Amino acid sequence: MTAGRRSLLSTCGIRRCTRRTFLLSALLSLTAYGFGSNRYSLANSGPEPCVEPPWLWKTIADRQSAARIGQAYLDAHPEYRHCHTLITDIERTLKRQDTSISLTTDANQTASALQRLLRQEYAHGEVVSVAGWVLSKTEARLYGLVAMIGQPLL
Amino acid sequence: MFTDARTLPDQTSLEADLAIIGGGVAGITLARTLAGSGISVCVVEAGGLEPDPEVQSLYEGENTGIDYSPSATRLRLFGGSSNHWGGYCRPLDAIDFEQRDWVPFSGWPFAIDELIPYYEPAAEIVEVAPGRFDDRKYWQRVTGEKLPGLATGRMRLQFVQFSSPTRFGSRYGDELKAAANTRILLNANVTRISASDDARGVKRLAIRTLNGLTHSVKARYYVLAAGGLENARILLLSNNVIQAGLGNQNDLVGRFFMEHPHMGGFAEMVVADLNRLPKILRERVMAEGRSAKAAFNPTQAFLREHRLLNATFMMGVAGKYSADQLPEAANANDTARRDMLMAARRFLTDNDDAVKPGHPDEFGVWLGIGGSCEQAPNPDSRVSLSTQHDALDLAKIKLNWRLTEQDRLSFYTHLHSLPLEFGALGIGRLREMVADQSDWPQPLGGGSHHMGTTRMSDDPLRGVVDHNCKVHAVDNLYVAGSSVFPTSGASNPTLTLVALTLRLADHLKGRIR
Ligand SMILES: Cc1cc2nc3c(=O)[nH]c(=O)nc-3n(C[C@H](O)[C@H](O)[C@H](O)COP(=O)(O)OP(=O)(O)OC[C@H]3O[C@@H](n4cnc5c(N)ncnc54)[C@H](O)[C@@H]3O)c2cc1C
Repeated sequence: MTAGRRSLLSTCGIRRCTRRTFLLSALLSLTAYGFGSNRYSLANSGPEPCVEPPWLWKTIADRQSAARIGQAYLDAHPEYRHCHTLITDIERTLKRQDTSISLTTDANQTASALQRLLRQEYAHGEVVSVAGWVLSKTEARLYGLVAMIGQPLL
Repeated sequence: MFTDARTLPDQTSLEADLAIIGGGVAGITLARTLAGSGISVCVVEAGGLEPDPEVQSLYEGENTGIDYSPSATRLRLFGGSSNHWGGYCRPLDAIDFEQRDWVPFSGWPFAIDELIPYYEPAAEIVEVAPGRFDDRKYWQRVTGEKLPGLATGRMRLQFVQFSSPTRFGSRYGDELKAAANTRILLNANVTRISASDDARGVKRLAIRTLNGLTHSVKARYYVLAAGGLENARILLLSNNVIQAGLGNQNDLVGRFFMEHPHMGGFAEMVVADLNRLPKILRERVMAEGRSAKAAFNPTQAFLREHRLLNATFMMGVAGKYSADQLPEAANANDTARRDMLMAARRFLTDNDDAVKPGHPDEFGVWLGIGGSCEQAPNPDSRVSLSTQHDALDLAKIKLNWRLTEQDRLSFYTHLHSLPLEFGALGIGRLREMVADQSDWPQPLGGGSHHMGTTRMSDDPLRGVVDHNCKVHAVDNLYVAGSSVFPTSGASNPTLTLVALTLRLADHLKGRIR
């Protein structure tokens, strides 16, 4: 892991991380990983838990079941095996659907927006197959995110 | 009047205005419609009033295509295959009649409008009238449940209505027995339609019984109504003038055999809240004396846009999970369904939290899905004559039912629509169970729907019968039944073949008088 990424993450405590610093850290960590990072040192850096967004447990009723489906999604889509990628992707998609949505303040509102988003994705055929289940892309990524929670950051 | 051909003196010759070969759905419908019209009718029926294995064995045949039994998919006795039909009724769709440039050999010689006046009388005959096949408002009102509006533009809800099912022999036999000018000749196998020397007309029917007698029936007009496989066989066997068989100068008789490929086990759906899936979508409901169930069918716009064949899907609850069952999943399928129900619970229920123990419906259900589809007309899918012979020393049929890649791809495209519809409505999540979609789901079977072997077209190079169902170039021979369908749609065929038979009856009334 590069020094820059490490310091940013360490300034962003797991629960106290603001949305802005969180996203920034996610972005930078991606950049760091993508550009000249030392993967060996990444593996040596010790486990860093995936930070759960505040709305997540408003949408997921059962963590273990969702994680099992999510793992199947990640196995088939290793490019999404990154907590920040998943969160960024889900939140960006939500924002595209509802530009006024505030993802930090009202978890219930986010959960309802997610419901609507999923239905829209089904209606538009934006789906993926996960172990045979046909799931909306965002739904599959949600479960993927659940599978990542608690796992070391990549 | 009923007469047993086995009890007549050998070489009896009977006469009538009209001879009908086959006393099944089409034959009985035609005879009933003409009863009392002053036209004398003789129905020549191969079977008796009860099933008989020796008679039934005359339906056996050779099979060289997709696994299919020519004998188990039809019945040879008075009433025909209505003695074990399932009673599913729905008219064809308007698009099924059209010439579609993406479906080879498609296009009926007329539009659905031609059959509309006959569908309601046909619905009366199969005892499902009044037909409410597209009337969602009606079913909504009588079931008291709001029906979902499908969201993707790919599929729509239609309704299958169920006949009791009407057994034509027992239901209409007494009426025919009492009808003036109508004779039903039982246990009388038509072995040949004898053509005149120039093959422009039929002279008589040659008949044999299993106890060794030979009779004949002479009429002014003849209607072949022996079912979708046997209609072709009888024409092919009638080769006293045209060697290839009567009406077969263009090598079309027996070709274009179509079934509705029927499949199950290719997908299943989990639903957490049955309130989101109205009853009529998952089981037969009875309302005002009628029994019906919703079917999911592609919209005509979607068929056109994606150049697809027609299809139909129905579903039913296959298993329930109670909260008590949760901790122990019996097998991999249970685990998968349980995981999906639990993971997606907040997207699939209004009451998002508690899974209350004890109630069998509380946690969710899984539904099996059945589908059947249209197959494109295919000249290589065919009935021909085998080298094997039956007990009357007649060549058996050789059936080679074939499907094409177009048929399969079309089916899978429709299958992919289902999870989108149910996901968009928040009803459930669907799992596709066919890993390799380069093949058909297994087991693949038919619906015992025999279609296309004497197809209808006004062009003799494309059809055996014309738009009146008259055999091209034979002045007094007609065909009734689903063998005249140029394309099959995805609806069960009997309602439509009854409607076509009523239309034929109108034509014959005009012609015979
Ligand atoms: C198990 C099963 C379930 C079905 N379910 C449905 C359904 O739910 N919905 C639907 O629409 N359709 C269904 N069908 C199909 C339906 O039964 C047929 O479409 C219908 O019976 C065809 O009518 P038909 O008059 O053309 O032929 P049939 O009803 O088969 O009648 C043909 C008659 O011709 C007689 N015959 C045959 N050969 C000769 C001969 N050489 N000489 C004299 N007589 C002869 C036969 O004995 C028979 O009585 C089902 C069929 C089966 C087998």
